[in-house]
Amino acid sequence: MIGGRLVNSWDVVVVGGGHSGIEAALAACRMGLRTLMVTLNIDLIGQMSCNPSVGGIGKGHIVAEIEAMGGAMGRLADMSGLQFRMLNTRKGYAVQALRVQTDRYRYRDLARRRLESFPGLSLRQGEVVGVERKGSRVEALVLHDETRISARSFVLTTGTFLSGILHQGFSTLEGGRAGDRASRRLSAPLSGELGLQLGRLKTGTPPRLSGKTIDWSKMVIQPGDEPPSFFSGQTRGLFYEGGQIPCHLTRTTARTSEIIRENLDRSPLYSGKIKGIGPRYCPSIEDKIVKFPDRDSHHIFIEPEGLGIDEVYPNGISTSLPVDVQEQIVGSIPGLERAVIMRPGYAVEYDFVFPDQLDHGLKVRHLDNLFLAGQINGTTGYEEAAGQGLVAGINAAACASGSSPWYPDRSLSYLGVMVDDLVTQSVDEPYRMFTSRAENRLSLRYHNADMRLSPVAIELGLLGEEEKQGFLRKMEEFSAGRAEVSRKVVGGKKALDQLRRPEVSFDDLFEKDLSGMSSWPASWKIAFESEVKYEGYIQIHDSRSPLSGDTPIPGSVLEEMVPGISNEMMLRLRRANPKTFYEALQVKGVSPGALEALRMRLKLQKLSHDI
Amino acid sequence: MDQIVALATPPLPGPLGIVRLSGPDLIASFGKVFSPFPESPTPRHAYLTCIVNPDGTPIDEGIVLFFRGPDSFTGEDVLELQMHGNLHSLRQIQNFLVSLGARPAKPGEFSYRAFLHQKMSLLKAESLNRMIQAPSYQSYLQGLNHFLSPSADPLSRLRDELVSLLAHFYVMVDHLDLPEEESPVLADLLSRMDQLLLKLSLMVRDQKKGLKRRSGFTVALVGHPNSGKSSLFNRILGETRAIVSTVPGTTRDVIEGRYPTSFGDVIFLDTAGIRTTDDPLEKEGIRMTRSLLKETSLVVFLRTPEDPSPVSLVHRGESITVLNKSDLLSKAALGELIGKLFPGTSLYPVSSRTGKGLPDLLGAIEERARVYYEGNSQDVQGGASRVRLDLLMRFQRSLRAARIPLSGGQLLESLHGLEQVRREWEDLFGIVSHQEVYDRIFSTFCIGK
Ligand SMILES: Cc1cc2nc3c(=O)[nH]c(=O)nc-3n(C[C@H](O)[C@H](O)[C@H](O)COP(=O)(O)OP(=O)(O)OC[C@H]3O[C@@H](n4cnc5c(N)ncnc54)[C@H](O)[C@@H]3O)c2cc1C
Ligand SMILES: Nc1nc2c(ncn2[C@@H]2O[C@H](COP(=O)(O)OP(=O)(O)O)[C@@H](O)[C@H]2O)c(=O)[nH]1
Repeated sequence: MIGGRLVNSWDVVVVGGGHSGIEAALAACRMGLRTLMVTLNIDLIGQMSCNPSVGGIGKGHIVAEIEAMGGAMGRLADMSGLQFRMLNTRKGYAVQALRVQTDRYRYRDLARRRLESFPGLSLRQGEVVGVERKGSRVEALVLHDETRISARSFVLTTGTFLSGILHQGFSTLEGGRAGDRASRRLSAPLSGELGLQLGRLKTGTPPRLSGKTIDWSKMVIQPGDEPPSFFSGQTRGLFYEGGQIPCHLTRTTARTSEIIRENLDRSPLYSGKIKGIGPRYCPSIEDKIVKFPDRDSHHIFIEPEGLGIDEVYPNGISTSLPVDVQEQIVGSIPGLERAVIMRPGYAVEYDFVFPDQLDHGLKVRHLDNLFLAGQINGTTGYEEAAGQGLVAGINAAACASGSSPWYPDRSLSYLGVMVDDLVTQSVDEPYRMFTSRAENRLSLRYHNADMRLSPVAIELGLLGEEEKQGFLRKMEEFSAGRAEVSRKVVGGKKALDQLRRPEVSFDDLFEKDLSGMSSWPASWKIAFESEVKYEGYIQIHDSRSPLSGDTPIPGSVLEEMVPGISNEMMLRLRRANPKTFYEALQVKGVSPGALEALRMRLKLQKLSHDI
Repeated sequence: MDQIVALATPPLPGPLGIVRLSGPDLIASFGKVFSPFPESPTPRHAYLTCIVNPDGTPIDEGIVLFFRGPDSFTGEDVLELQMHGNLHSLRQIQNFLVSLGARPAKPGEFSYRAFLHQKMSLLKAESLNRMIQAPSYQSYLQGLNHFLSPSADPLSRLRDELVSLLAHFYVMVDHLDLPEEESPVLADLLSRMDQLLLKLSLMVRDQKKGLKRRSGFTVALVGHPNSGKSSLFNRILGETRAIVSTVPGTTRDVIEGRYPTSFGDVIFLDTAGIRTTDDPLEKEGIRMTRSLLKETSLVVFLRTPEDPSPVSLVHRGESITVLNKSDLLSKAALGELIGKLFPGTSLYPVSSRTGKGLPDLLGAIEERARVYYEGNSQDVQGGASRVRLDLLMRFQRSLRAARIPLSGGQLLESLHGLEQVRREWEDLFGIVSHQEVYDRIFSTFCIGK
């Protein structure tokens, strides 16, 4: 009893209703735990703080993995999608991924309804301002209204809100994003009570414009794919009657650069007022002009914000310059000469937690039951946040129910790549996913995400009965298909061998023959074809593994500090005391990154003996 | 890691002999052997002290320096004992230290530890080795340059190109937001790969060339058995013989000795004797010698008055003929023999027993050494070594393999191969971090919408 009120008690409590919090809460709840989501404003659950789009290269891969594990993001994007484009179609299947322009209002609305549809999941509006810790356990969270909420495990997903400050020229404002107040009081207990090391990052967003004041005739139209493809196999089509909404392309001019250069002294970025480090891959327009002075022009994509909504998002002019300069910048761009700014752009600076304080399940190492996910871990982007939310939610649920944690494997998923990168390498600028981060890129495909992860999801209890049956049916059809293609001969040659050739596609094999496989959905065909095409390379990759398994590990190696292996990993290795590299591969809980470092170390030893 | 000990100076009598120890907790283990010596010595302070037996009798007096890890060459504690250069006392000191727990170091182990403790990259360690072994001041300077600034090493510059190539691939797969005119296309990647391959094949060629004369100006002594090859070898190198090592790998080990001149070392090789024979075993010996001769700069054929016939071996390279054991004949008889056997050719009559004729012979050899070193002062870029050649060839093989799919438009398969190359390079250079590749991307391309 606190202040005469009954203590509010749950299995899992998720703080934050952003993209990370949504997946965390859903995962915990689907795993059968009584879950509470606490967030600053229930109306803004699933708010897209920045651009109205989901997916893209690397990011879309994560969405596919979330979808394969029964998460929400893919379906929410499908059901609020205005434009669908499969990217990189000419560069090889492994780097293809979907990007969807969404109706941000509908997305938000659907997200909230989805959460509310689960009986075991409750929502509570409020601001978490304090934590109660006993030994290595977090006992409870305290809200601004003094409610004390206890749980077996907790997930924090505070996004850009921790001690958030918004910058526009030299005017600053406390806030988590435009229109939202910051979470001002939580940083102190995180660093004090919980002993977490915090850092500061920044990110920015462009001004939003009124579409009816834009001269569209001066822009290049960019339509969606026809027919569209979707993240989820269950999506049947657009949510509305009519065609996809296009984006439009325009560019900055020499005048734009001039305006920016003339006003650099009024930029909080260049005057040193903003100290947080921003993401280099989402630079502000002032950054682009300063760093690439020779370029006379930069792309701008005008993206729709919603169906029947006038407001649009000009992707490419993120800025924290003062509003009057923003007006001039917009006016210098073809098609935007008379465009009206509805909401000015700004930059936000916020606290994050250095993620090397977490384990591979996103649990704070020195605490038993606290998990962190999303932008609080130094990442940027909805998809990265959502992916971590899923991992943290699963592990918070496992923690609350006393079962063993799930560590996503870096060689099997982008989720694994992300988590491993974060916890072993930490971040010094906002982390964003790229396919270049995945050394196992050829296997981690958008189109085989379900084959990689649905079996795990089934084991964890994340998939509903219908999803599970659907997946198993697909697998059956695939193995039957595989058998059929192995037997098949086309033009006197083995079909399987032909399909391995780069220029032969799945449909080429079935030109004349309309068996079951030829009516497969396009995404299945791609999944099948790419599996066959990359097989050879993946095998070579395995057999060429540059260090043979029986390479001995001299005892002395485990006694030193091996560069790239954290203390924790080293302890695990020492305890297991593997005698060969193969034995080391079997040690539980040693990250692939650490194994890679060990492999290098052993190789170096061999090499230096040869000198 | 255990404690290791080794002699750092050559095992020759001289004013100083330096014994080095490296490993953890050296003072605790060995501090007691010095007297006087503080319990916790100041690092990098020179202590004049005695090294004493357990019974208190001194072994030697000298300067002892202590370096506390990680601020040392190896990154561990290091003790440097500068003693008198007497072989017997130095051996006694080493034995004594070993009896207290140190282990005799394997060749190169100090550098190896420096490498393990990240005091030195493998490349740097390799430069250090080349520097120490350099046969001339010129090639020493080159090793030194790479040792002092590893980025000057052409191999590091290749790494740079690898990073750049990766950056271009990554931009192509991950950054579709680049305007078309700036984003690299397949043809760019191909031409970059080809440039790199070209550079590599030039480097491989240079390395192969360089390896042949790796050990500098080499002189092989060739003659029948008993023609006096070993005697001549010893006579020349007698007092000055700096390093004599045996190079395994031939039927009979080849003895190698260095004769320093002001231009660079002359490296003498004493070979197996060559006899006209049908014996298959000896034929094998001849074959080996012949292949050795391909790599030597100069051949000295020995003949004797006892058996003046030439060895049955055709050699197209540069050679000198000497008539050894000239002391066996009177001056007149010598002149007669020479006139009879070698009319019109330049022949050096010498005696390895008396030393007669040697200055002339050595003068002739030195003159050729001078020409050699001056002509070759532009040594192979980056110096040559087996390790380098192997690495370059491996890199070349993998890069060629990575190029194949690219010419068929298979970008990702090619990138996959390139990442294998990257791994191979990481073995030498250390991790090529994602961060580093991205730094390159951001400095080359204007990324991001
Ligand atoms: C100005 C701006 C620019 C951005 N620019 C980019 C960009 O260029 N590229 C890009 O990829 N991404 C960008 N983003 C980032 C993207 O919006 C986030 O990465 C993503 O939304 C993070 O998701 P999240 O779930 O971690 O946090 P958020 O979506 O920020 O959600 C945080 C949630 O936590 C709740 N919360 C916070 N503190 C408390 C508390 N104490 N108690 C209760 N609830 C709390 C909030 O109410 C909110 O629901 C930008 C975001 C902003 C604000
Ligand atoms: N008189 C004389 N004897 C020599 C001379 N050089 C070598 N010998 C002798 O010839 C024999 C063979 O010499 P050695 O150097 O072993 O010949 P190798 O088999 O060619 O190496 C030994 O007994 C030497 O003492 C020399 O210049 N004069």
